[in-house]
Parts: sequence; C-alpha cells; structure tokens
Amino acid sequence: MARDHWDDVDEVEALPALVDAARRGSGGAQGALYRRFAPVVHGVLLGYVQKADADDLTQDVFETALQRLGELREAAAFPGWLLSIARHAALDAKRRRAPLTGIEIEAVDANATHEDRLDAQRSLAAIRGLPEAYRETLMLRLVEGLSGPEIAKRTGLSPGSVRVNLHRGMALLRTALTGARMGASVR
Amino acid sequence: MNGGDKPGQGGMHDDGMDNDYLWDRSGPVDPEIARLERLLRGHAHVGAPRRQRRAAVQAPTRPRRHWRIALAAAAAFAVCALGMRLWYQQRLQWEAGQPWQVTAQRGDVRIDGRKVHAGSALALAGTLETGTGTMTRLRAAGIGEIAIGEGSRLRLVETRTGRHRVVLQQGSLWARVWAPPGQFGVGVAGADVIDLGCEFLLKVDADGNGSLSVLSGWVQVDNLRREVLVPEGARVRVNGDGAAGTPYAVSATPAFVAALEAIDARTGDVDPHGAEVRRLIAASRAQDAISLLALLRDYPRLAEGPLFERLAALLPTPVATRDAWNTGRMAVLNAWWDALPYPRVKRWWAQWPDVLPSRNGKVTQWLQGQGNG
Repeated sequence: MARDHWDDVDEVEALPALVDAARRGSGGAQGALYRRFAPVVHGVLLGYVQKADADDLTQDVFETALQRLGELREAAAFPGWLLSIARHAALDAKRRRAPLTGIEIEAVDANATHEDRLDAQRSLAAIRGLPEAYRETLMLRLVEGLSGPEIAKRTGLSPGSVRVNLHRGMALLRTALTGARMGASVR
Repeated sequence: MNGGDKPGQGGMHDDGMDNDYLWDRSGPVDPEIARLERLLRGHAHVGAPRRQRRAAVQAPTRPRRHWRIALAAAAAFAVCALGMRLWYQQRLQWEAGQPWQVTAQRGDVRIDGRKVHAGSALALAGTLETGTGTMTRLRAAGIGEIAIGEGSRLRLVETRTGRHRVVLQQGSLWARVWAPPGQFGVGVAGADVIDLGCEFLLKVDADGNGSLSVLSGWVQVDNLRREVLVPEGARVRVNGDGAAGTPYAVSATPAFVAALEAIDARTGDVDPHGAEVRRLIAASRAQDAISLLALLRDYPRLAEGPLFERLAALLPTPVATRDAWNTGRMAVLNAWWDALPYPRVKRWWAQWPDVLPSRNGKVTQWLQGQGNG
C-alpha cells in the first residue's frame, strides 16, 4: 500500500488536521485514514461477522464514512464516529440470515493444521460471546495485533479503559476456552 | 466499544492486570496469549488498498440535492403505481348483470330479435344474432372486447366482477382479454373455452364442431374428459360431442394434422409402433412438440413407441429418459413442459398490448377467414 506524508505525523495530534484534509477531498489524507483505521474497523466487524464479510464491510464502512465526513462536527471524534458506523454496518449485515459471501466456514491461514483451524474457530466464537467492550478490545489485540496503547489511540478510549477491558476480557476468555476444551474432551 | 469504560470500571484488581505482555508485549510472553495470536493472525485485516468506487468526498450540499431528486422520483413512481392500481382495479370491477355495450356493427345485427343500433347493449340472458355479411363488436365488461362474425348466435349467461361467461351457439367469435386467468370464458356445445390472458378466435357450427385458434397468450379448453392448454400460434379442434382434440401448430403440415386427427379419432388407442404414429413422427417438426407432448400426457401408452424418442429429440432435457418416465412420468412431462418455447401461462400481465384496441380490418379478416386465424 502506498504511503503518504500523512502516515508519518503523530497519530493523535494530527488527527483533526488529517480528517479536515480528507474532508476537503485530499486523496492522501483519505488513504492515510484508511490505512490507520482499517484494522480497527476490521477488528470491530469481526466481533459480529465472519472474516470474508468483515473484509468487504471494511471497505463499505470507509466508503460510507468518507461520503459522510462532512456531517462530522468534531474532527477529534472521528475514531468513535467511525466505529459507530462500523457497528451499524455489522449489525445490519448480521440481520441478514446468510453471510454476505455465502461462506459458512471462515477462511483461515492455508498453512494452518486442521486442529489449529478448529481452535481458531473456537477462540473466535468464544471472543464473540463476550460483552461488546471486551470482545472488540480483544479482537483488536489478538487478531489485528494492535497493542493496548495503539487501541487507545485509534478508538478514542482512555488507556485505562482499554487496559481494563483487555484484562477482564482475557480472564473471561480463558474461562470460556477452558469450558469449551472440557466440553470437547467429554464429547 | 463506546461503553468500554463500564465493564472495566472497578476492575483494576483483576487477575492478570500486571500482565504487560497482554498490554504492550513488553513483559514475559504469556503462552496462551501468544498461542491465540498465532491462531488468529490469519483473520487480521490484510491491508488491501481502499476501494475507489466513490473516492471523492462530496460537498455537504450535494447529498441533500440528490436526496431531493430521489424523493421526487420515488414520489412520482408511487403516484404512477397508485394510479395504475386504481385504474386496474376499476377495470376489473363490473356490477353483476350489467349489460355489455355494442361498440360497432355492420349489417343486420339483432339482440333478442330487435335490430341493434348505436348505443345498444347485450343484457344478461340476451341473445345476439348476426346475419349474412354482418359483424359486430362489444366491450367484454371492462376486461376486453369481442367481435362476432356473420351467421353467429351468442348468449350472455353470466357477468360480474371476476367472472364473465358467454355461450357461442354457432358462428365465429374473436376475443381479446387482458385480465387474470379464468375471468372470461366461452361455452360451446362440447366444451368450455377459458381465457388465460390472451387473444383467440373460435369458430363452431350449429352442432358445436369447429376449432379454436390462439393468437396470443394461452387458452384452456375443458370438457368432461380432457383439459387442453393451447398456446399462442396453435389450434385445436372442438367437437360437439365433447371430444376436444390435441392442439397443433397453425403452421403444421396437412400430413401431420391428418395423422394427429387419426390418433385423436381413436382417443389414442393406437399401436405405439403403428402406422399412425410413424406418419405423425415423419411429419413432425420442432414447432409440433406441443402436440407430441399433449399426446404423451393424455395417452401415456404411446410412450412405449418411438414417439418418446422423437419428443426427447425435439425438447432435449436431461430429465427425459425412459427410466425416469417409468419411475415417475410427471417429472418428465413437467421438464418437457418447461422446455416448450412459449411464454408462461401466468405471465398474462406481461401481455399488455392486449389491452389496446384491435384494428377492425384485421379482426374482420380473421372472422371471415377460412383458416381460422
């Protein structure tokens, strides 16, 4: 993906300027917003839909967001605003019975073993079963590979909240996965 | 995640809060977290470039303008749809027993013995008669029009919303109807001719013998023994004794029609390998598939002979095999039926040209023609 000078400026301080530039139609700024926030949008979407649908919806969410950027009053509120668009899109897609792509099994790493694939499915299902705040934070940390500070910067949440969500969510996830493993071994 | 503060509030002392690997990967590696990272990394965003379908950000005023245009178009569409629906409903409404208006006439036409003049109408139970060299046209309630040729006698036996029936005692009748199937029907001595959304020409003599030719859409001919569906471009014999024939293409060769009538005359009780069947097959063309299909439907024993292979060749479908026929012939008949090159019966609404008035000269030509259309 081609980088732009916008990719090199400070994430938080430069965000309003970046959003304003994108609002004025700067292709570079729009691309930088996409590169910076696409993993966050994708992670949030993954909490609701399968990967193939999340990939498509990520594009849709950005298309919608860039079209409606003029409606955003406070540029600094962009992360929260963008994620609310993503959640709406995900819920809308989820209301449809079948996955958008018609794919039932989530696409995973082709090199993964059968056991790893099953474990990945179980882990994703367990994360999706958590409350929204934990689910989204863990998706960003474990799937999208963002660190806690990065999650805080790109979601607009405070670092303390992200830290709490990560640890409480992880504790719940460990419990859920232990229960799932025990259930599997009984079967 | 907007509510993300809530779940975390008051939970700063949870187990693992000092786990820096979870926070920023700075502490000792937590094996379970590392394992989850490995398992789930294949689901991460792949960094595909942004789609550029509508890359340019529009000024805030543009969408509003587009919305106005979209709303105006939607409103116009809604008004048109409502108008069409009201017009259509109005068109199908007909007070029970309301007379049918005579719209044109030529020569000596009489209703219940009285000479027809401009503005006359055919009342319920009334009989319309035409003499030599005459012709008349009537509105068929609100759903279409009919024309009666010379030497005809027609009786209006029922008319109300959803059901309109006349009896053609003799002569010729042309009808063009645009309404849901079954609303308009003509009784003749041996059968009922039911409109399925179409234009057709019916000719019978005083004994009820004659023919039905379909000019557009489909017509159903019912008698006590047989139900025949006749598509556009096909003709079928009607007989006063109730024995409706097998439909055939108007363009069928005389040899084909003769062979078909020979089989019909024996109600299909012929040798499946016999001369009649062989003659029929020899004269058959792709357009004659409707006849062969009707024969196999009504006289399934004929499938024991080469008629089956001939129809399978004319209407190729993977379903039509002898094994399939022997285990369940309805599936094979349905597959052939679907393969016929005619519009579907239920697409009557698509035949909107039938709602337009027909040219007088053309109708007269059909009514007077020897070939029944």
